[in-house]
This record gives sequence, C-alpha cells and structure tokens, in this order.
Amino acid sequence: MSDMRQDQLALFSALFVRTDEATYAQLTAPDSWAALAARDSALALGQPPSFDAYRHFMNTMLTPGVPGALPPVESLYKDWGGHRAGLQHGQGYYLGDAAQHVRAVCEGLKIQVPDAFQAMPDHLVLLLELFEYLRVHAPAQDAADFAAHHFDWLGTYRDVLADRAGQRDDAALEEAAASYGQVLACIEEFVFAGVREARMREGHSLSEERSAEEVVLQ
Amino acid sequence: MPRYGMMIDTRRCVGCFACRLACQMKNTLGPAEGFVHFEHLETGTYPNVDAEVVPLQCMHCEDAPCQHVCPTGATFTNEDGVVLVDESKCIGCKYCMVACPYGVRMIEEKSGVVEKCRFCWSDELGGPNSPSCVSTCIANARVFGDLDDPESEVSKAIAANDAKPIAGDLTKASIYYVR
Amino acid sequence: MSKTMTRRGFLRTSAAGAALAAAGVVGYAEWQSGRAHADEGSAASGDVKRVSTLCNGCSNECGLWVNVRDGVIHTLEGNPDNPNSGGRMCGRGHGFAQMTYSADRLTQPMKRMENGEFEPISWDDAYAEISEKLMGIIEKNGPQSFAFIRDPRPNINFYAPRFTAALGSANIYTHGAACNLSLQSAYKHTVGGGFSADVENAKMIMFIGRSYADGITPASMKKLAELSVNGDAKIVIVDPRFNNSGHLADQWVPIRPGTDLAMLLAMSHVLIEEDLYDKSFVNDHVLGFYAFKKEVEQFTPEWASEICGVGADTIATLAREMAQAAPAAVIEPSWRAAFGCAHQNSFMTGRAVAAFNALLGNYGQKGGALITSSPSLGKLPASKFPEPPAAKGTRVGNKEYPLAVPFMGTNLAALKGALDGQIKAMFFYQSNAAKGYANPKVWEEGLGKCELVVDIDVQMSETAMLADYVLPECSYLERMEAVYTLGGKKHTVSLRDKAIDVIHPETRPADQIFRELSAACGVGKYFDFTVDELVEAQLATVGLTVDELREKGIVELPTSDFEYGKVPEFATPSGKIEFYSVTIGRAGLSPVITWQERKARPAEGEFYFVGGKQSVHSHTMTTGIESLMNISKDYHLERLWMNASDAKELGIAEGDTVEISSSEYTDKIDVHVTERLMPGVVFCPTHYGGSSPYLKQGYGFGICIPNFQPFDMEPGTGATMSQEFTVSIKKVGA
Repeated sequence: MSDMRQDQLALFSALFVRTDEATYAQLTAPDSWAALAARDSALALGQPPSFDAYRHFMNTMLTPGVPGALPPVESLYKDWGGHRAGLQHGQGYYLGDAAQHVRAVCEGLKIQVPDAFQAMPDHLVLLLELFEYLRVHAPAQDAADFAAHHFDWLGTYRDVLADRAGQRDDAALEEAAASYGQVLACIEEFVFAGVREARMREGHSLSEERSAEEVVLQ
Repeated sequence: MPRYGMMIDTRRCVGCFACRLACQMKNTLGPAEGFVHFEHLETGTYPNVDAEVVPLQCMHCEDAPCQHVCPTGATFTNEDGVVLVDESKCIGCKYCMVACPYGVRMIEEKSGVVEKCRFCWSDELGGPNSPSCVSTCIANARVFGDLDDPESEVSKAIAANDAKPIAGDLTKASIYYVR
Repeated sequence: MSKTMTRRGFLRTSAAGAALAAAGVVGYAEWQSGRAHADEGSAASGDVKRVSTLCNGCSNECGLWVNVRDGVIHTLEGNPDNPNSGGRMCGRGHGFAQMTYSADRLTQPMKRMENGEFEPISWDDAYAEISEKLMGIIEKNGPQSFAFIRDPRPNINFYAPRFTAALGSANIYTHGAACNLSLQSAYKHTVGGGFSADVENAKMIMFIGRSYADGITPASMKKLAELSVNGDAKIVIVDPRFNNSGHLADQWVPIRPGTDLAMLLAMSHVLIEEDLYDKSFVNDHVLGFYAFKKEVEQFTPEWASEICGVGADTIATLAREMAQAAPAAVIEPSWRAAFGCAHQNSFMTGRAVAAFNALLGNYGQKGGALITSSPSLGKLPASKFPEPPAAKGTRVGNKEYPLAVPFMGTNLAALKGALDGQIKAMFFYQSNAAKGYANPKVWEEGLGKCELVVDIDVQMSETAMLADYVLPECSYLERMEAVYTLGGKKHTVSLRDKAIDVIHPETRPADQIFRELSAACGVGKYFDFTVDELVEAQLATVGLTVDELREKGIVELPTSDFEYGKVPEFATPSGKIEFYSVTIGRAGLSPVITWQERKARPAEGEFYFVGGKQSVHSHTMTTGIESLMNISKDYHLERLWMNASDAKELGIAEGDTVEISSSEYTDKIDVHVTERLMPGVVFCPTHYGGSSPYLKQGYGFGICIPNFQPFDMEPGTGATMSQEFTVSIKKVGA
C-alpha cells in the first residue's frame, strides 16, 4: 500500500513539476501509469501523454508567467486573504491564506519549505507530500482537516484547465488536458483513500457506507 | 459625542477613481466591488458643455431608509452618527438595497452581507480610522470630520461653501456636496 | 512492491516534526482564529511595519509609505513630504501594487525554444548563453550592432547606459520616441531644456492637449484644483476633447488635432502686431526675434482659424488675455498628449509653445514658466565605481535625427537598424516597445531579424513574447534602487526601498542582473558593487546616510538656487531663447519657428483620430490589474468617443459597435456618443486591445491604437508620430 502510494506520488510530481525525458519515460511506463488509479477507483486512465505532449502542456499551461498559464498553486484559485486582505481581495494571487496556512503548518512541523517553492508552498505537489506526511505521522483528524482545506480547489482547477486548453484551438493540448483532468481525479481519489486509511489505522469503523467526500470532510 | 460627516467638492473631483481603489484595499473588497460609485453627468451641447463627476457612497443619513426597512436590525446607527452593518445579523434580504435612494448598498460577494461605506469605522479605535477616500484624494475634493463641532475642518468647509446634501432634506444625509 | 521509484520528495521531513504533528499545528480553523486574535492586538498597538519607498505605477516616482503586515503588503499611502505625491496617491498607484502577488508575474528566467514556446532556464545558463551570443555578435559585427531600450526610471538610468557603454555601444535609448521626444527636443533647442508651469501662482494658464486629470501627478492635480476653486486664475484647455480636466477649466477651446501650431503662431502674431509682448525680455533674452516677427506676419488669426477650427476672435482674445496676465501667464509644457510624439509638426509646435512663453516674458516669473535645476549627486569613488569609457561610435539614428534630445535618442532608429541588419542584438528593460512604440507588426518583423533579443521585465509583455530570453525582475516593492533625485523649486532625494522580501526566489533586482550579466560578458569590473553599496556611496556625496533617508522617506537638499523673478540661464548654443536656430537649420528643418502641416488629413467622410491616457492606467502595463480593469469595464472606458452630430449622421447610438479602419488596420469597437468632442474627430484611449487571447484581463477589450499607425518618424527627432493617420468608421450591421 505504502509503496504504491509512493509510486503514485512520484508520478503526480513528475506531471506537475518539470521532469526530464528519461524520468518521465520511467514514471509513465505502462505499469506505473496503471498504478496511478487508486486501487478502488473506477477511473479509466487511457494512455499517458507522450513526452512531447507533456512538455507542450507544461510549457503553455503550467509554467508561471506564461500568458494564460494555470500553475497548480492553490492560492491562485482561492480568495487571497479572506477578511485580512488589504492589498487585494479576489483570486489570481500568490501567497494567499492557503499558502500562509501551509507555511504555518510546515513551521509547526519543523518542515522546511524548499527554496524553489517559497512563493508557492501550496503547490499541488507540496500539498500532496505534506498530506502524505500527515497521513502517516499525524492524527487522522489532522490529515482529514488538511485534505478538506487544501484539496477542495481541484475540481475548479480541473474545469479551468479544460476550458483554457479548449480556447487554444490545439488538439494536442486538449488531449493532454483531458489526461490531466483524469490525473486530477486520481489525485482526489488518492487523497480520499489516504484519509480513509488514516482513519482505519486509528480503528475507525468504516463499515457503514459513506462517500469518500464525507469521510474527508468529517 | 461627535457626529461624523463629509463634504465632497465636485468642482474639484475629476473622477480619477483613486478613492474607489483606496477604499477597496482598506475595506477588503473584491476587485469588482466598490463602496464609492460615480455618476458622470454631461450637460450642454458642443461646444458649450460641462462634465461633472459626482462620487456617491453611503450618506450616513440621520433618517436612514435602509435602517428603517432592515428586518433584523443589522443596519444601525452608532452613537457617532455612523450607519453601520452588523454582519452577524444581516440575512441578505436586500430590502436596504431597494430602500436606499442613493443606490449605494452593495452585496459583498465573500460574505453575502449587504455592506456599504462605514467611514472606515474601526471598532478597535472606537472611531473612524482616517477614511481612505479622503486621505488619498488627489484633488483634495473631500473633507471629513465632526459636523457638530463648528470648529472642525468639515463644518467650516460646509459653511464656507454653502454645501448641501445631494438630495436636500430627503434623508438628513451626513455627506454634503459643493457643486 | 515498488519497481520503479527511488523517489526523493521536495519536502525534508523529520521524525522530530512527527511528534509535533500531534500538538495541533495543522487545523485550519484554529490557525485562522489565532490570526484574528493577533489582528485585534495589532490594530491597537500599530503593529504594522511602515516602509518608505517610491511608487512605480508611472514615471512620477511618487513617495509612498507602505504598510506591511506579517511580511505582506497591506495598504499604501502617499508620503506628504514628497513633491510629486503631495501625500496623495492615485488609483493606478494603489492598483499597480497588486502586481506584486499576481499570477501574471514571471517567476523564473525563460528561454524561447525553436517551436516558439518558452521554457525555464537557470540564471547561470541564461547568462552563459546570452553572453556567448552577445559577445559573438559584437565580435563579428562590432559593438554598434547592439542596442538597449529602456523606460527611463532612475535605477535603470544608472545601469543600462553603463552596461551599453561597457560593451562599447553608443546605442542606448529611452521610450521617448513614443512619449515626449518631440517637445523635449523642441524645448532643448529653444530654451535649453525642459520647463514647468508655476500652476499655483498663475493668473492664466493654458493647457494644450495636456490633462492633469487623465495623466496624473497627484500634487499637480491638487494645485490645479486649488487654482480652479480658490484662485481667480483663468484656466484654458485647448483640446479636441473636453477632457477630464475640463470641469476645472474656465474655457474649453476645441481644436483640430495636429493644428495647435497654427493657433500658437497666430497668438504670437497678435502679441507682436498689437505690441503686447514683453519687449525688454525679448531684447535681452531672445535670438531671432525679427526673423520670427517677419515670419508670423502672415499668420493672422483668420489664417489660423481656417486651419485649426478655432474662431479668429477666440485666438486673438486668448492672446490678449495671456498678455494681460503676463508674466503670471503660461502655456503649460505638456507631456505626451498633443505634441509629445503625435505629428510631423510636434517638434515645431513645442518650439512655438516655448516662444509664446518668451513673448510673455514669463521665464522665471511667479506664475510663469520655470526652468529649475536638478540636484546632482557627487562623483562616486572611481576605485569602487570605475566608469566605462564612452563608446567610440555614434548612436544609430543620431545622424538622421540629430535634434532628438540626447538623453532619449530615437529608439525607432534602432528598430530601423534591426530591419536593415545593422542592429543584431537588442535588449529591453520594462519597455513594451512591441506593443506601443510604433506599429506592432513592424516591431515583430524587426525583432524577428535580430539574432538576440533579451527582455528584463516583471511580467510577460508583448515585447517579452518576442524575446529569446526573458529575465524576470522582482517587483518594485521587493527591491532597492539607486537614489532618486528630483529637481524643481526644491531639491530632494528619495529612495525606492525594499518593502518586502523577494517573493519569487528566482526573480532578481536589476542591479544583480547587471552585475551578473556584465561579469558573464567580461565587463564585470564596472558593476562590482551591490545596490546597497551604490546607494550608500551616492548618498555620501550629499552628506546623507541610508538610515536618515529611510526614516523620512525623502530629504530636501539645500542646493536649489531657485528664486522667483530671476531669469534663468538658457542652455542653448547662444545662451538665449532661440526663435531662430542654426542647429535646427542644419538638420534640414526651418531654422525659424514657422508653420508646418500635419501629415495625414482626412478625406471626405474620414475622421481625425486622437488617442489619450486615462487616470487608471499607465501605458499598457496596468491592463492586467483586475481592480483597475474592472473600473475600465464598469464605466466603459474603452469606448471610442464620437460627437453626437457625427453619430447621428452615421446612425450610431451609445454602445453601438463600429468598424474602425486606417490605412494599416481594421478593428471593432463600441462607441460613446458625446458632446465633449469636436465633430470630425474620434477619440480612443491608448491602453487597451491586449493581443493575447490568454491574458485574463486585457483581451477582446478595446482596441490597440498603434496597430492603426503607419510606421513613420518625425523629421529631425525621429518621434513615432502616433496620430498621423485618419480613420473611417462604419456601423457594424448597417
């Protein structure tokens, strides 16, 4: 289980943080790709994007500063500062409340935010790593709380990615966006499964039928 | 007790929108939201024309229609004559928006509360915290202060310019205009 | 079992942290309420850091106090001691600060790949590749194949010329050709340099095209408002449009675009003909008066009226009123507006403005035209700050456009150089040339021919999109810059300072970029100092320390020698105000100030076109700011203005969409029908019409004016002639 989650996490990282061709090939080999879907998920993933398609998607859709790009950073898709914002309210800004909370969590856990992510501690990949850490080391409630507050934007994100890719009259991009949409669904599933597992570890009974969302938000 | 009010001199205002921006920041409004609105009035025919910009915001009426219609008492006037909204009581029914003759009540997207200018009221300070529309105004078109103190800058300015509320005695507004 | 992954994550976690995880450091709700408690404490105790710095929302460099809360920009206020802000702050200043955290920002160096896409590149690789290409180009084609174009702000005015000279090139330009090159050059050749209007003391002031309410300097706006309300001064706005300062004016004089010169010559004619000019001033301080007098004999108000559309009586009366109010009467020097770079006669128009003020004898007088000095910092110690030798060659364009003021030059000559293969490498610093300096098609072609294009910017501008390498600077609130000196009646120094730490770790301030890039190019010895060291040394030359400046935000220097009533020195070849200029004659233009046509004139049914600024935007750089663009959208600021009678004739109502065409381009735009515009003229703001469909704010909103403009340059100065075109308008669907 744990190994598989590590594999999944590695693949998510590769897809959302720039990766070289050899590593990408390794990570998207058929076995790894198949393992991406969580065990109990019914998701059909199709083929992974080719390296060229991945690179094209990365360059045009995920790279900060490129006009129209949508970097996978939570703050950009949430209100910036709640009631504290002075400078701006609204969406599309780095280092909003989401990022400030992640920073506070990292500080509390004595985890250093890597230099490259100073302006985006709420980058999807870091959120996933932090979640995994909490799943293993923290009380299940903490992992669930973190999941509820930091992965609730993925649905919106999936939609804007698809919309934006659709605006560009670029079939390769749309195809890659569809793959990424599925991967984002896998990520949600990965998180739900993680929360379930944490709760089971603590002896919660999950025998009663509850949706993954309910478990997360509990 | 002071009774706070403002004078706006439209002879100076050039509609630069600085007040709207400063207000947005100070009051954590969204980029599409503003407590200050602008009426652009064009009069005359070419070449004898004039163009006046009239900034509008909550007039802090002594006789506040929005307060009268508020079913929960969310809109209230504090001891200093400032009309405020108790967020916890607002149910978003919008009666106040309909009742306000100046059209300056606004639904805040983040909270659903029907908000408005509060003269930058600060509970912590127990008074207005230097209204940002006044302090940023590049044409010095706004004066703020205590209407009950005849020596205040705003009282003197209103007297000197014979400033009047925009709609006369309609609601006993606390914002006076020179036009 | 894991077959493939030997994964190392990004986070370095520890077992020690794990224990803490149990201690409740994760909960979001607890974190938020903890912050709320902290806030309550801070509001009362004033626990907000205040940092003094300079705004960068336009080129005024207004002094600000920035309130920083928990390391995050919270609010901004004007610094009351600053002569430009006067303690106030305009809307775009507030709005521009939002760029700091914007998703639109560049966060890392970028390189354009063969397929046109950009990919991140490390700073070291970028420096290595850029320097290799640049030095290769210079080796093969000489240093004059390299050009640098910048928007001239204080810091880059130190670094860019130094860098360009260090590489042996004389090709250093500002954006001036698309700003106020024509009038600055005119003032230089007529009165020796720029002048300002003593607004607060004027008894009569005339603005030609210039509107303080649309191109804002807060302190100037405040002075004009005071003058309008409290003074008995007469304020006159000469403009085809009743602009947003119109409400403050006593008289609006609508005039055909590009014909201000005719009115100025006729006003001069009246002063001379009726003996109303200041003879003693003219005798003492003017060169070529008699040649001018002879020249303007023919330029009667009736003659001018035919050309400019202003009644002959109005022209004569205005001239007489100005003379009556003189010397406390002045024609304001303007900025870009009507004759900064608009027409082929803009340079001549600037000369006529300076000359008319001379006829009023107002130079140095209270309420007149002031020529003031600027403070100069002392020489930096050569051991630490060695000056590169001056470049040997002549700047490309200087020969063809010798009248361009040297500080600016004409960047369009560099573009021409790129088109004809003379310029092979071009650098830009925060100057969106490809969008606004001339027709964008031509820029695209010129940059396409360069072997190396490098752009330093905060966001991916249209120019950056055409670059081979884009080097991201941190925003103005995250960097310290070289000392800013401001002249005028008072002399001051101020400082752009770091209000917050650098947000994106792979963005760097300009000083660091130049230090590192120059080292890679082998000229690092000219940049072997940090900006802190530079500022310290600069301030030491005027006996100040950084701490003193930080505390006050601005410090006045005792060096101003300004006093009212003293006629200033005119830094012209003759030391006089030159109504006749040998230099200008040598450049192939009329040595005496005289009439010159605008170039493009409307055919039957066509319109004159006027562009202009709006208070909430700076060039095109603020159209990504959501709160500013919301204002533009809410109030339909993008619309094309048209006089109501013209609209009626064309069957156009408010909000209707029209097709607008020039010789170069056709686009669609909604119309604002108004009485505030001269018939036969249309007006449109110059900020909009973003060309990238992927930018969330700018695209599909308004039109891009330079698209309509033929590529051309003003004789003598090389200015862009931004309004030398006419348009035809057709209602869509009609």
